Amino acid sequence: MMPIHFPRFKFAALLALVFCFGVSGAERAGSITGELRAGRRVVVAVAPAAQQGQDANEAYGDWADRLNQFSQHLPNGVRVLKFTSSGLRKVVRQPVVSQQYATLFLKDRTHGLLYDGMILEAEVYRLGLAWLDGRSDENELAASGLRPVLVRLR
Amino acid sequence: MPVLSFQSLGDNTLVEGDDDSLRRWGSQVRNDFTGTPVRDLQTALAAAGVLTGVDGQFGGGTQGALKRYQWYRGNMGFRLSDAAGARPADGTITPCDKAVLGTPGICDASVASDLLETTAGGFITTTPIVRLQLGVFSRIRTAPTFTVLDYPNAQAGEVLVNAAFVDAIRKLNAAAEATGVSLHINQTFRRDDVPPSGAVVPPAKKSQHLVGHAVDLNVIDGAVTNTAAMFMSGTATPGAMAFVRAAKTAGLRWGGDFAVRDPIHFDDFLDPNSDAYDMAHFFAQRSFHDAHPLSQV
Repeated sequence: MMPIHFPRFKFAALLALVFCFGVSGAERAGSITGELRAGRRVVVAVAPAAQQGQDANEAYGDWADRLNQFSQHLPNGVRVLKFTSSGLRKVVRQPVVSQQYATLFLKDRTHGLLYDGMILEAEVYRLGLAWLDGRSDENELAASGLRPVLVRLR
Repeated sequence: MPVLSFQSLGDNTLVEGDDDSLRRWGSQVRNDFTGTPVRDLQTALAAAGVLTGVDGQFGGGTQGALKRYQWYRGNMGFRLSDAAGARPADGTITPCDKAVLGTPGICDASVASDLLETTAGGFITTTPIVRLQLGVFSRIRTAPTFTVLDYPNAQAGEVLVNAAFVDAIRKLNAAAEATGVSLHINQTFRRDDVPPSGAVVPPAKKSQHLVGHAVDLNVIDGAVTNTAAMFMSGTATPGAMAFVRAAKTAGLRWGGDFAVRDPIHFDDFLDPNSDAYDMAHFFAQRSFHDAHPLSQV
């Protein structure tokens, strides 16, 4: 008896390919600086390399959903790169990301916006993009957990 | 030689391991019968929307499909009329009596009779996910970032939840009324097929959202939108914290209590290691892939 199958399994297979190439391709030392030099803005998603054991973790599920949705609808000139916190430290001297999960919006080589922890609300990404575009409200940023940081690349 | 017919099994059963080509039915080689009852069972399960593939061999796939059908009939009070046989999207949701059918995974005469009635009537199994109009709730609206999913009979102002989770939404509304706050929903039901373009990380496979048993929301207290960050930093408003306590007292789980905190998340916990979760997941997600219309509460 053939097992039942639906299109989602084809999606799953494609997703696996995307994750393999996405992670290994993104965490190159020069990828952040290369994107910035090319005039693109960068959103660095910091997360552990392996995601085993997260299938029923609701926080992980919400974070992954928001990040994947956000990544699907990126405006032109914005790239999402995935790093581990240790991998990021090899490329970014400041800010130091100590959490397993974080997000760093990079407008250029010196200006960043940091969210410590998992982004669980689509609104936070919206505010991050607005900040990249130079449209932001400090009170909104603070309430959402986003804080401007000085960036020093290695 | 008499025919062992799926339409009239009598005291016979069909179980895993049976095989039409071997004349093995009810775990026994029956040289006193001929027929294709396993193939007929599979054809009926396929018509009911719980199986793909018909080969006359009762393996794990057929057994799983049979369990799904039995679970559906025991737990779901409606089905989709697909009399035209064209597209499920054109079907009509029709109420039906629930029925407890035999032993899970074993096909006896009661299961066969029910399956035949279902398929002869042009009915197919559908989804536990329902459309819930938020207009009937005094304290709940969707957030500006709420994403409307694509389904055939979508209407503005509604969210999708499992029919079994509707009462939880009522409890959340009551908790909000009691504590003087409003709720902005960010997400309820979630599909499991994130398109590969732009996907960065693997999605969770056993989330309560995938079965419609969860909601992500912001608590609005006066002019203040309580964000996840405010709960994390201990700066959520007293009204928001009172709401959380009221929701927990009403029996909901709050994600702020989880080991990995998720303070915008509330659910009523359908055990992800249970058959009930697997069944709800199958029917909820399958019906979206097949573009079924959804019933309204």
